[in-house]
Amino acid sequence: MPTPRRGFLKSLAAVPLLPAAAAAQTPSPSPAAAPTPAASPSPAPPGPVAETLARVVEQRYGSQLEAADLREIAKSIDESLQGAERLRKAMKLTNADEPVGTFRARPPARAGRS
Amino acid sequence: MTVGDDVFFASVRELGRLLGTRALSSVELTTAYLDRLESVGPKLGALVTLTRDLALSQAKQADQERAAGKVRGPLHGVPYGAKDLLATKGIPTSWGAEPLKDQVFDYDATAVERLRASGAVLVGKLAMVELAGGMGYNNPDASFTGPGRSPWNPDHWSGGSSSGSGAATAAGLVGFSIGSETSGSILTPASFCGLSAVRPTYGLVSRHGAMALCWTLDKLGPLCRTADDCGLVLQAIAGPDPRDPTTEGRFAWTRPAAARRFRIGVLKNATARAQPEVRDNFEKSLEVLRGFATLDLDVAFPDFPWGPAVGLIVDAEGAAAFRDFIESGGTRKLRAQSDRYGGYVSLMTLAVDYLEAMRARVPMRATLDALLAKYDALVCPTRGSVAPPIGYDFDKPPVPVPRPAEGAPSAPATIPAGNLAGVPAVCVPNGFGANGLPTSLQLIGRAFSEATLLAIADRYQQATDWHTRRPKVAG
Repeated sequence: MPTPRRGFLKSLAAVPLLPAAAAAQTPSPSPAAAPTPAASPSPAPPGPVAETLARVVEQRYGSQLEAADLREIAKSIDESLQGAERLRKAMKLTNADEPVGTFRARPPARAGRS
Repeated sequence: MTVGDDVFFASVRELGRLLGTRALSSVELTTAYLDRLESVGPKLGALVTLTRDLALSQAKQADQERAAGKVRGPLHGVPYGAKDLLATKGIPTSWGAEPLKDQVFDYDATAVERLRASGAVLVGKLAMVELAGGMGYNNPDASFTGPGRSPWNPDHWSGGSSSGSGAATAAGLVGFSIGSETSGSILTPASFCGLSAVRPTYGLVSRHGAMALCWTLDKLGPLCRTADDCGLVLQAIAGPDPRDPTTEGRFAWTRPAAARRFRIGVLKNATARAQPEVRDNFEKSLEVLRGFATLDLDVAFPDFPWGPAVGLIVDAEGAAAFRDFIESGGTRKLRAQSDRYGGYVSLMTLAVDYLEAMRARVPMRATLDALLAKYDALVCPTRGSVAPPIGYDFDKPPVPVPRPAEGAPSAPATIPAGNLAGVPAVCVPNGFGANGLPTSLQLIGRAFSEATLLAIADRYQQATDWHTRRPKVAG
């Protein structure tokens, strides 16, 4: 399962385990799971679509970015794409399924926020 | 009367009683809170702007009105702090970001207006994670005012993105505070700081004048010392607003005298992968709840990819909301390293992926609502852990984290789920865990069921005293 890219979502996913180890004097394993060794698997390199989108970022905004940023951007785009794919596989939508928020032709009396 | 800890940590209802009996004037109370906020707030990374002149003017007016027999309600004369993403006329509103620290609006947010109309006194603009975490922060040190620190243990984070709202309220620097949540930004600091809080139903509280991160997810709500206080504050800020077309519904709070017996669903795997103290405190909380509620155990939570759906929506809407800021290089000046490049990632979100998430949101919301309809509330720990230490990335803790066994269950993703569906949640402190840090209990209900959730939380707090505990705060 890909880790959510966003820090606050990442923290939602990771923190339940994180401070258990970080806060205790010695790491304590989760009571609900027999821990396996802590070594993390090497992350797979970003896929070709993520690399391509990262090149779009470089093309458009490269003057603002450094090489290390572009590497992180490619990885993060890859995580986002994986999240989208996971969602798409999990939710079987039909042609008629509309998104939340319906367009209406008649404008509301006072739409928008000043 | 001397203003000491008994006053600084008093509930809003108790502060109202002190003001009502003239044991204390609003000017005296406000001055004491201003001095304490000014002294302690920066040490906790909780304060952006002290609004002393405005506060004293509002407090003086509150006292004059009270003397003339005009009392606007239970918040009359009570000092509060607002997360620094709420526009305040003529006072900087930084959105937590260094490049925007001198931004000034010429109007007040609706929530600020309504609190003023309720007689509340604004003593400060409170610190927050830059752009409410919209660029993907990965470290507690993600605000130009520095990391928010928990008053229970300042080496640990106060949570985000309403980091100052959490720290200031828990440290007794304000009577209550207003925070915002897109996905976890009220519940997390409330949990990490040992506070009571409400994430209201989407649309119950006007977002007019609040920084827009995500139009279909953003919500404003109170962080307080008691559930009863949350009801009082929510009552003041909720309700329709023509300047926010998403607003609907009203909320009125009356503390239930003899509430009926509630029916509560206890989520299956609620404490999976949680810290031992979180698990133990949750089990003890269930025993308290059994005193006035019927509990259904092992209630299965809908198994959807809630997190990826919320992530896509925040990416797409956040990138649109901040496109000019990102493209002009504004995010390159943010504090957290991952915030400096995260916006460019969001700009690459595919439109079809966003729309797929918005389409999937319909059946996901319906499934969750069908479950919530069976209960007055679902219950689980607010967070599976106490606050993490400051100084480390969320995914690079100081001590390697044991990985769970393959196939081990994980706790339901209630925070992204509740936000995606727009349903309310209330959290209350329910004990302490590692390093003296608080743990928290979360109640989730159907849309616009805040009164029921708060009634349950209030009953819980009548049977416990966790909400009365005070951190030791050096002035």
